[in-house]
Amino acid sequence: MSSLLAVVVLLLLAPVAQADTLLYVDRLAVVDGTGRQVGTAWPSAEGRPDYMYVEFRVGSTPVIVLVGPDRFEPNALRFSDPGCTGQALLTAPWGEGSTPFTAVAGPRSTVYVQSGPVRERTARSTLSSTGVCRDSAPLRSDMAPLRAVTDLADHFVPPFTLQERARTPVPRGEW
Amino acid sequence: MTSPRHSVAVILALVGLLLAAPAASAQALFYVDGLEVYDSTGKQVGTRSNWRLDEEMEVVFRTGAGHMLFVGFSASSFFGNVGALYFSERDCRGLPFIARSYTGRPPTWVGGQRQTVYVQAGAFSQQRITSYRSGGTVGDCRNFGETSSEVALAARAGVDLADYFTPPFALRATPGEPIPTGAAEPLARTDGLVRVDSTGKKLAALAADVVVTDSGITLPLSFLPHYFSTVDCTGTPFVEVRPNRPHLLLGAVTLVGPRQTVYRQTSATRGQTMYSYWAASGECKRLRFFHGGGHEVGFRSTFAPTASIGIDFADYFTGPFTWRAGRGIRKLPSSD
Repeated sequence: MSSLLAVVVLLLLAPVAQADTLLYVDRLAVVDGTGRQVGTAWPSAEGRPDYMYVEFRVGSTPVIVLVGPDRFEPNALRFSDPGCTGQALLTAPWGEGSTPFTAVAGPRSTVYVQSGPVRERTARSTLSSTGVCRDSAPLRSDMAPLRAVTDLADHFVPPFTLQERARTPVPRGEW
Repeated sequence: MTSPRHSVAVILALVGLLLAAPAASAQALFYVDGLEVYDSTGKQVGTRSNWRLDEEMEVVFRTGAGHMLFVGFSASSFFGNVGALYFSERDCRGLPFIARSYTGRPPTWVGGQRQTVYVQAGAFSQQRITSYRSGGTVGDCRNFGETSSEVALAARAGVDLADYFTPPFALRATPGEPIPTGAAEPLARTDGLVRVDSTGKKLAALAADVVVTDSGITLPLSFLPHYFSTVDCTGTPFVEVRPNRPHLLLGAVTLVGPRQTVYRQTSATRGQTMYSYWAASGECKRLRFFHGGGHEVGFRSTFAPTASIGIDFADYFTGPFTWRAGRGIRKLPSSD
């Protein structure tokens, strides 16, 4: 009797394979909890389940931001002074990038954009990607200075989801 | 009879034409308005949903029931963004489960001869699984020791992609305006992320990072380094490509010499050894690898030969190349 019940439960739970239609997608976007579109890029991320990229611009500088279901993914930043104060810095061991460096950090998801050339600079504290500030002995390495541009928390409210618009059916035609 | 003055005029006109013409390119280059995937019947296959031109190329569909399907493709078949469909019982029986995708997308599994699609149908939780079916057209079922894994109940999306599309699949570019050999033009108002050269001249949009020749060859702008099977950088340039890499739907491309001459892959990749390459300093350098026994060997990998297609990239663009955001990208909101 119990095995019969189990089979019935399995059958009820089992997904029903009903024929469905297929539609082309015209637009794919990441939207926030209020339905506002976040950036304009195609979402894409590698090896980070539930994370996607969105893109903005500051002038003509691309700002690519990794966004998860409930937050903008922060980067680790260094600072010229103890206590995560002074000039914000980003480690750049391979020199200048193909675009100016950008980063997101802090509890309000502050966006930073490169403000000067990569050269050997000194950092005395580090803000980790988990938001913890730690002072350190002076660290000299190739770094880019950053300037804060805006706080994303002022503009977007989690959760972030994918939204698509699809209207055109794909015609059938077997291989 | 032709007068001496007329002959001089003709010669001057010819000289003018030669000076005005591109230095060496035998073909013209065109910008690309779109780059989409088509099946063998000429039907568009989905909408490209990332900017990759390699093995991560992906299209997106929506089903009538509202499921978003993110599907990768090779020349011959589709594949999902998860590698396996798991089952609660041995021999791929019982309840089907799906793992999180590795691409940040809702998970989609595609497998079997009919290219059947499964999607997530429940929340992720720890479940007991004992077998799995791999994706692809073969879709083998394999048992493994009972284990617990974080997966979600899966359901058939009600769509077999074989009902809609016929392989082989190919990328097809829609040619746009000819690329001038002169100076940069301002970006259009609708431009998004674009690749530009050191003068600010546009090469291509990130969404379709290719250019097209007047003979219809689509050139990916992700140029590969090249090597030689000789020790002195002479002979055919070869590019290192992995077998079955779908970006070869377009053919691998490399730039050779000071004029940045475009060389394109001419045949399939195979295992062979390379012995020299041009360093960034402009010197020909030996590829030196040493076998365990101490004797010198070359660089052994899978390579494909290339040949010139009659275009010097230096006629059109000046490196290095960077990315610029056009006004088609949303301006970052200001906190002021």
